[in-house]
Formats: sequence, C-alpha cells, structure tokens
Amino acid sequence: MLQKLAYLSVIFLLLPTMILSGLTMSPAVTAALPVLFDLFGGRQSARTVHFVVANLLVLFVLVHVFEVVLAGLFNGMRSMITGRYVIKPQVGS
Amino acid sequence: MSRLSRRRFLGAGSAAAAGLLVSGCDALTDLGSARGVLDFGQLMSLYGQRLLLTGQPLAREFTAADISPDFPLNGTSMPGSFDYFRMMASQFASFRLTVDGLVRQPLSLSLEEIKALPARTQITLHSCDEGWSAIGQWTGVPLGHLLQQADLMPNARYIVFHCLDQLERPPGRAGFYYESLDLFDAFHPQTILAYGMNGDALPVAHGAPLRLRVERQIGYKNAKYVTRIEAVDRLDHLGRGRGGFWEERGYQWYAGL
Repeated sequence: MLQKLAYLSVIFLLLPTMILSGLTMSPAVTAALPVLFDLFGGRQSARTVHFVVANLLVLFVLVHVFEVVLAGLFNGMRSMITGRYVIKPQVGS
Repeated sequence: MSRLSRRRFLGAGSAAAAGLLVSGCDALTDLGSARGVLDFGQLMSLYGQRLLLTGQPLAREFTAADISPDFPLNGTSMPGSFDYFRMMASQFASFRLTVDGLVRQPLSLSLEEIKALPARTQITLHSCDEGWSAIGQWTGVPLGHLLQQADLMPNARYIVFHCLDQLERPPGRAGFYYESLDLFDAFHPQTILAYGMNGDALPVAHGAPLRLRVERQIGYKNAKYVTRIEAVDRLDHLGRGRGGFWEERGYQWYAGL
C-alpha cells in the first residue's frame, strides 16, 4: 500500500511539479503563462520547490533500487527478459 | 570469385564501420561537436518558446510596493577606463550613443537627446543566471523606437550592443562586454534602453548611463554601459562569433531558459 502510494505520488505529483516549477524559472515561458507565478508564489519559491522535489526524486530512486536488490536482482531481471521466475519452496512446508 | 568479392566487401565494410566508430569517439571528445548537440537543444527551446510567444505577450509587471529594496549587483560595477571616469565626472554630458551598421540613418545621440524621446517605465522581475531574482523599476526609450529612427536595412537580422566595460583585459576589444538580440526581442515593447532605475538616474553600478532591459531573457542579456548599437546580418564575424561576451565563454545565445 505504502509502495503504491509512493509510485502514484511520483508519477502524478512529483514529476508534474518538477516540470511546472522548472518552467516557472523561464522568463520567456512566464511571459506567455504568467499563471505559473501564481501557482508557485513567484520565481524564487519555484526554485525552492524545484530543489526539494529533485531531492525527493533522488531519494525515491535510491529506495526503489534498494527494494529491487532486496527482492532478488538477478531473478527479477531474468523474469522480465525471459519470463523465467524461480519460486523457492519454503523451508518446512 | 563471387566469394572473394563478398569477403572484400565485408572487409571494406567493417573497416568503414570501425572508422565511423572511431570518428564517433572523436566527436564525443571534440568540444566543437559536443557543442553541436547543445546548440540543437538551444534551437529547440528557441523555437518552442517563440511559438508560445507568437502574440508578443508582455512579461508580468509589478507595483511600486514590490520593488526589491536591495537589487543585487553582477558583472562590472565600475568600468575601469579613463574615458569612463571622464564621462562620469561630466555627469555623462559627453556620453554619446551610436546607432550604426545596417541602417540607412546612423544616429549619434547624447543622453539629453535620448531622454527627450518617448519613454517607457516598467517594474519587472530580473532573473540572474546565478539563481537570484529581484524586482526593479526601469525607465528608458524603447529600443524599437531608436531602430525605427535609424531605419534598418532589410538584411539586418540582429542588433548588437557594444559596452564600455571590460570583464577581462586581453589586448584589443576581446575583453569588452557585448550582447546581441534578434529582431523579435529587439522590437518587443518591453525591450528598452534604460537611463532610470527605481525613480532615480541609473546608478553607475547598474550600468549608467544606459543599459539594456530585455525582460523575457536571463540577466546576462541585459547589457550594461551600452555605448554603441550595431545592426548586423550575422553574428559569426564579431569577436569569437558566438554573439556575446558570456556566449563566447559557454553560455547559450538564447537565454529565455
């Protein structure tokens, strides 16, 4: 559940915020779309938002890769490419 | 015989492929070719943003209450030449702005004559490439008005701004600041040559007597201490051919970001 929430927020929250706050730094784009200033409360706050969200995305990538390794890197990669996924029988069953 | 020719074909083919690979490596390490990729990115943002700006919208203007109490300084804050000191001592009475190049009517104007031209005052957000921004009020003559008076020739495509300040001191003119715009931004109503800032005369540190304001591009395009405006058809014969002081040191020419 927590993992699904993390992926949802990256795709629908962090990445769009990243794009929009990046565009707010452009004097040409904000001349065409001044509503971006109102969205972020000015260019300086857009820079801060951009910086914080960039760090959150890096954090997300680190956790994501960590979880991939924990879940079995070789087995997972092979199953994605060849379809062969080894399920180990549980000890004691 | 046919086998031999196929073998020869394969041999020649792999030699050619290896040659291409090697030249590809060269291209990666060669700064000139890497620059080609960056220049392509610059063209994409130029065309993309020009599409957004087709209707020539104005950059947002602010109220007097929004003016930053402390507008940061960048670049030269005092041009160090004897000629500039002498001009400063005369309150810029001896200053003249030249408009020449591809114009039918070259101009040479004193500061008083420039102040007598139609003026525009705007309170805008200045965005520096260093990552800060500040709001200031600027008063000056629209560049488009000057260019109309000078009567551009049909082959003029860029406007070059030559400045009085030197950021580096190699022999010749290579260390002098200069900038350039195309006509799309040069004729924008908010592109002005400012002689006033926040209700007073433009301070020396901010480019007195005359500086460029181009509100839809980043700080370094806003050249200070402008003394000569030249209309040209291309930029590659000026200086090192990149269209500006910082452009020759790796910045992009189009700075809409």
